Amino acid sequence: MTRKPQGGGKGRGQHKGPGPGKARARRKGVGERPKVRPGNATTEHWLRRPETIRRLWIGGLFALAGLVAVEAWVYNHGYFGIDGIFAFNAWFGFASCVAMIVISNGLGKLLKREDTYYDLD
Amino acid sequence: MTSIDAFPPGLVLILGAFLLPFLRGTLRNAWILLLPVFVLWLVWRVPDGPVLTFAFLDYTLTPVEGDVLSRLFAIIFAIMAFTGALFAMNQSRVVELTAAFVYAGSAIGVVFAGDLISLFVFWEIMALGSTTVLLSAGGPRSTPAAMRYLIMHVMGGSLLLIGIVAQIDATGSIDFVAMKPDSLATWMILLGFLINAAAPLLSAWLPDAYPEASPGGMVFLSAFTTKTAVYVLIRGFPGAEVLVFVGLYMVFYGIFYALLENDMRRILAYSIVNQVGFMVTGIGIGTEMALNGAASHAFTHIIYKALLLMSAGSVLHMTGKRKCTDLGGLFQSMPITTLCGIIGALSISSFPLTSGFISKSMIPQAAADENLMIVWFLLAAASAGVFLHAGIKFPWFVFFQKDSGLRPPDPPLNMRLAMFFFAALCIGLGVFPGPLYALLPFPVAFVPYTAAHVVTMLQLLLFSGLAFFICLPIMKRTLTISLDVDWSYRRFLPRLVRYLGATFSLVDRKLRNTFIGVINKAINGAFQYVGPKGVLARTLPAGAMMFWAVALLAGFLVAYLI
Repeated sequence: MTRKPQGGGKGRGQHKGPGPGKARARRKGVGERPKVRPGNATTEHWLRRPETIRRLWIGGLFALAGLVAVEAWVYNHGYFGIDGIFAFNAWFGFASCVAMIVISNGLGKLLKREDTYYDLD
Repeated sequence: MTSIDAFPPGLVLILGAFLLPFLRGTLRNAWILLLPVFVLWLVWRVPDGPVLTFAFLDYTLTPVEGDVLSRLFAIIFAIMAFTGALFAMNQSRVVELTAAFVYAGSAIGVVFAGDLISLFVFWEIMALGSTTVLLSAGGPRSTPAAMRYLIMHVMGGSLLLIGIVAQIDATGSIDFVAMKPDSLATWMILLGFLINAAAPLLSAWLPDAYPEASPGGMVFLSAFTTKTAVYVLIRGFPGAEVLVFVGLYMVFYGIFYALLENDMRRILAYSIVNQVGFMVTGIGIGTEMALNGAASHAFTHIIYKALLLMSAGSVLHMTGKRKCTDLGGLFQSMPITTLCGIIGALSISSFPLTSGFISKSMIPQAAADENLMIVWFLLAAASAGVFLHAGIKFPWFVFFQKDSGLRPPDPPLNMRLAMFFFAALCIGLGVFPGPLYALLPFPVAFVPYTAAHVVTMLQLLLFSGLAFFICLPIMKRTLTISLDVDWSYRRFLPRLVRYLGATFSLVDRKLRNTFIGVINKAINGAFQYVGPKGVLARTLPAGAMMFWAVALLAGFLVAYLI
């Protein structure tokens, strides 16, 4: 749950930067995967190294699985029935976020304009 | 009560602000920090009931009347004035800080106003103060934005004034008490309040104007206008069902627009609308739990939103850049700003152990208690959406994502201290909610830290995070803005006027040319006959007179002979 990648921080001087907010640190690492670029592992900030990012993904997924598993012990009765089913908040949060991203992308096709749009007036 | 307590705290801040231009150096800095602290002390001392009354026309005005709700808002406004001033003292021009204090003072004036007339006066000073804050940013974009902002608030103020006059006429009382939107008067008052809350369909004024302010200016702007609107709605329209719909619209409006946005401070501006939407929904539900939720959420929101904007403002101050497409990788050189931004982002997302967790959760709880199933599900989805657009998107695109190559250091000491203070409050209130709960208008029957609540909230949020990173490829930032209702008055109406002007000037020119042609023709025609060479001017005047005299005499002769 609070696992945080170690190692590689020495010598950079600023490895503590995004340290607190461990859940955040893990999450932002998760998303860095598609952004990985081949870089010099010795000069790159430890948080940007592919190995760190891989560990963050694994740690993050374990944490998510743990969070679902813990519901076996923590009984969530729910208010309306359907929200009491197993891991409701996990899939509801995931599904509603995907839906919101898809809807906003659709809206974006309709509403987006170049950011100098009003400057021309 | 001593004589010092007779001073309205808001007025002290307003008048004290006008000393700033006359002070220099250390003295000014000391005044900037001490004045809000002094005002906080005054606020703390305001007792329950009317404190100050005086006669005005046929009415008795009550500019200061204390109770639990007004004290709660005034306390956070004074704390905000202090922290905002600390953050802005090294970068703001004196006119901006003066205006910001006038703005904060009038907001405190609004929450202590015991009658509708005093409320309206402070309400309008607030509009002037905030417009001046915007104007003092001074830029090609901020001046027109400030003018649009002013027009919108003058319009809102006019609706409010119409409503207040009609309401006083109908009831004969100027007391500011709970109303129902059941008459034209109360509807007008409600509309005036809602415009300041950035409610639909005019929400666009907020993301249009606020991001054009200076880094420090926007920190002030985020706190007062919308939150005084929340205060007057709690006091004036608790349980008005229409507010549930208005609030839910605002919640999702904020999320969708923030997801599309590229400017980091505009993301946070949309997120203000989103958060105020939660509060407005709570006010619409109207139970004690819901109103406690709305009031406490306004309190914590001011703190974490200011923290987020100070973090974004620090980035803008140090890099001069505001677009996500230009930023990224700043955590490497701005660790303190990153840390504070993340704490603000976690708080706005209602993460356990932060202030959002102990305040916002009361609103969905109230919806569940009232068996409002659809409202509850929408609020739950929206809570996930908050984490998506403000909790992750803001820090991710500003401090992480790609490496922009920018390596600015953290901002100056005063800005770091302001961020530390509010970050500490976010965590402090999240861990020890007791002192805040003690300030709320109703007894708190809510336990935030139960195992089920913590687990469900973490599931909701962390799986939203998973959705964010999985969907990241389709969330690439683009150099775009998103059209909103403001398109109608920024693009459509000006173009319409220009089009009509262009069309009608042609018709007008044609008409005038025709008319001038007719007159010219008449003159030319007359000239033909009476001009120097006209038929009637061919003979010399003496000859002509002789001719006509003879003709006349001949005429008489003929007449006589006949």
